[in-house]
Amino acid sequence: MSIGRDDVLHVARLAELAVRDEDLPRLVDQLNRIVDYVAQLDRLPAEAAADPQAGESDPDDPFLPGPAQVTLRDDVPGPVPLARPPAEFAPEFAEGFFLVPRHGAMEDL
Amino acid sequence: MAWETVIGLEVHVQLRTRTKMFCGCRTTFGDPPNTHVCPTCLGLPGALPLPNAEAVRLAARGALALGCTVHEISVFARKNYFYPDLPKGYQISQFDQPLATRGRVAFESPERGRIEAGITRLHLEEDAGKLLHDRFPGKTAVDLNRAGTPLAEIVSEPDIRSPAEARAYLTTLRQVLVYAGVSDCSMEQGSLRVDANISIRPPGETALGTKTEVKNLNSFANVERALEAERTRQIGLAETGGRIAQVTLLFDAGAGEVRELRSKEESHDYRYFPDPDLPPLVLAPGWIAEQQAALPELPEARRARLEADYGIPAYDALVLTGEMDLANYFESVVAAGVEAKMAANWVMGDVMSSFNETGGFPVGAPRLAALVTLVRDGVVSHQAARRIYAELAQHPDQDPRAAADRLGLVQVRDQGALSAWVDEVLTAHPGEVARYRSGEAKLMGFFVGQVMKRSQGKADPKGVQPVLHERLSRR
Repeated sequence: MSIGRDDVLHVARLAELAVRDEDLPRLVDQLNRIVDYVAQLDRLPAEAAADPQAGESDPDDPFLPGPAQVTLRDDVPGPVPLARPPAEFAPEFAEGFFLVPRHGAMEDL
Repeated sequence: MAWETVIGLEVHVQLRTRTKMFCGCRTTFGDPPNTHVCPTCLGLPGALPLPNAEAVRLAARGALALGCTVHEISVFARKNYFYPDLPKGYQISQFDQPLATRGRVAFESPERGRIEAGITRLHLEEDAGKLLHDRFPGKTAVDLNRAGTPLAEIVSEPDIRSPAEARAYLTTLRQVLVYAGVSDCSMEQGSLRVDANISIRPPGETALGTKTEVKNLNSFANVERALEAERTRQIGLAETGGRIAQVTLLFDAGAGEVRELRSKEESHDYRYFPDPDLPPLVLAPGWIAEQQAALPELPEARRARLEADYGIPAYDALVLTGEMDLANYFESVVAAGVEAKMAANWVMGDVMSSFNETGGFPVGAPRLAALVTLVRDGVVSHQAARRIYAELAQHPDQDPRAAADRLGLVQVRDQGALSAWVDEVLTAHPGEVARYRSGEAKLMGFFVGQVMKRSQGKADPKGVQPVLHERLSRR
């Protein structure tokens, strides 16, 4: 698999990131290396791609990372406290609110 | 040219849980900003989500109440977008494997009678935070108390054919969800939100036209108004050779107009993928069956039962079951010994007015029953009872009979007192008496009215007429 300039620009647009022209070759190279690295998984034999937790191989079952099903929590209030109050780690904080620059066409989604 | 309107609705309802979808923060409404936040709902590095079992149960219950199939396996997915109300940079939702699919809502269309709209899917997701744009100049203020609140998103098929039908669908959907105990569906508190998709096409056409999405709809009446406005706009464009673009619109309720918010750009790619922090949600078939069996009586069944058990008209049953609390109240009044039709009239009248104003019942069902019994027994007139009701609403601890005595509203049936009022009235109106005696029988109503006035409403009208007859027949 090969990533080209257009792919990098497309990903950058989705991520709403500005990319300078001089950075493009380096980003193309880095993304290709990442994709090639992950592509090594394709070379694994099929029987290796089974649920590692089941202890046996089943080529028909897809690989599942972690437990086979999610654990649920009871609906009991018990928030984990913040180590520091939000005002200390927020770039800008006033009257209990986080503040961010206002964009042109903000909406409540 | 006549155009067919095609509408599909996406409804988000907040599930009635004490805590958020993936963390133990409370979901209370209206608290100071950012007081219900933790590393998980703030999206701080290393924090892991743990789903709320009650949210799963409520969503499944809502899905079953809507006739959906609840799937044994569903998958939480990340919906990625950048916005200040979304601290993680993604919303945990469900995408290609939702909790439930293929349900339906049967409702009364104002134009087509009884119809059904299909439910495409119901899935679980978390809410975003709240943004305030007008509090700090040049800044947007972010309150993340709401971030992570559990929601069920309910997507309808494009089966709705008019703005009025959209409103009727929403009214019925809301009733079902409230009856099922899934959500309080309060639009004021934002626990029910609607996005509407609308397109038009020539009649007989089966392909869908280009749709637009209308947001910012904060009441069912505004959903209808916004869709009317958007339908008119689309037809205007189509009939003047314009092109309808796929856009998102905001409804400006003040102006009664829709405004374009942004073009629905193709780069609006949410890059959904299964959330690696959350293995699949697996529900046992037995558990799903238990939820089905535990469903309470839903509005349609209750309407039928009220009609059959109490012999009240279909219209009354429809109005009373419109709000579950109202139907419960009605049944309590009947259980306290009031004849059903009389109870229905009271509940649909003064009780419903105060319920619509306050959202509650200032006069408890047993007290209303005692009051209605006073009317039945002729102790007070219906008009007097309404005054007593208003009094009881202000002072709920009062006994209706004591209130009637205190306000001097107990009907007087004593012949002596009635005769005295009648004589006073006849003496005061000699002209009318002469006309009555010369054949103007309709003046009887006038005399009764005068006696009621003179007695300040206390005379028993049933007792007044015989006395009047007797006096007027004397020469």
